[in-house]
Amino acid sequence: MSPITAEDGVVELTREEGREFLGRKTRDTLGMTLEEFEAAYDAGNLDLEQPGVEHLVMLLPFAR
Amino acid sequence: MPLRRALSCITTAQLFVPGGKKPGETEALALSEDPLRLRSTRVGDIRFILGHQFKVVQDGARSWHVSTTWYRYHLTDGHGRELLAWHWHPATSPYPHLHAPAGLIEPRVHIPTGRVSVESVIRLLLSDLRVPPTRAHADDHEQVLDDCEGPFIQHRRWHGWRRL
Repeated sequence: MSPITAEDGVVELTREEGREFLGRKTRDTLGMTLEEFEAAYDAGNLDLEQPGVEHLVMLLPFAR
Repeated sequence: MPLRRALSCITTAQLFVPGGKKPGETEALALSEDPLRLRSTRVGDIRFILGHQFKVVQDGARSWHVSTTWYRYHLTDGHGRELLAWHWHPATSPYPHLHAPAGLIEPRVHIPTGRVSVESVIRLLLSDLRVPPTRAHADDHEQVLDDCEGPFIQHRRWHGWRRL
């Protein structure tokens, strides 16, 4: 438990839950699966200027 | 870093963190309602998008601190059009800044700021933009925000950016 998760109302997501959470967001925002999003990120093919993309990149620690 | 308590002034949404991370690994925060839909009595529907990355850093045998590595706090209108955006992302733009498109000021213009806390954005929502506080904090939200922001102000390692 970290100083963050010790606080009431903070929910620690498992890797599986985190991937499901982020996968919903990549589908809703970009119409991509999480796997497609990760592949595009790793290949440097994401357009960070596209609305919502940078926010999704910030959430990658939930999936990895 | 009592962020969830500060956020409870405007929402009952939960705050998610990734589990299983080791000290030094990059972690992130996310609201269970993302974007967070709010109603301002001054400007109408508002969406708050919280983006925050951090690391837990061990700085002694039994002492740790939480170190922010990237923040991105956005306010948009109800249609997703950007109103205000506070950014600090040292990998791409080392100094903290604000995007505030207005008139001839294009959205991409980086307006320098000091380091901005989540609490100060929540305070803006409540005070200037007149988002109603949650029922639980109808009477004490100012005190809650002051209490939550205090440790951040006391322990932050920097406020104004300078080139080293």
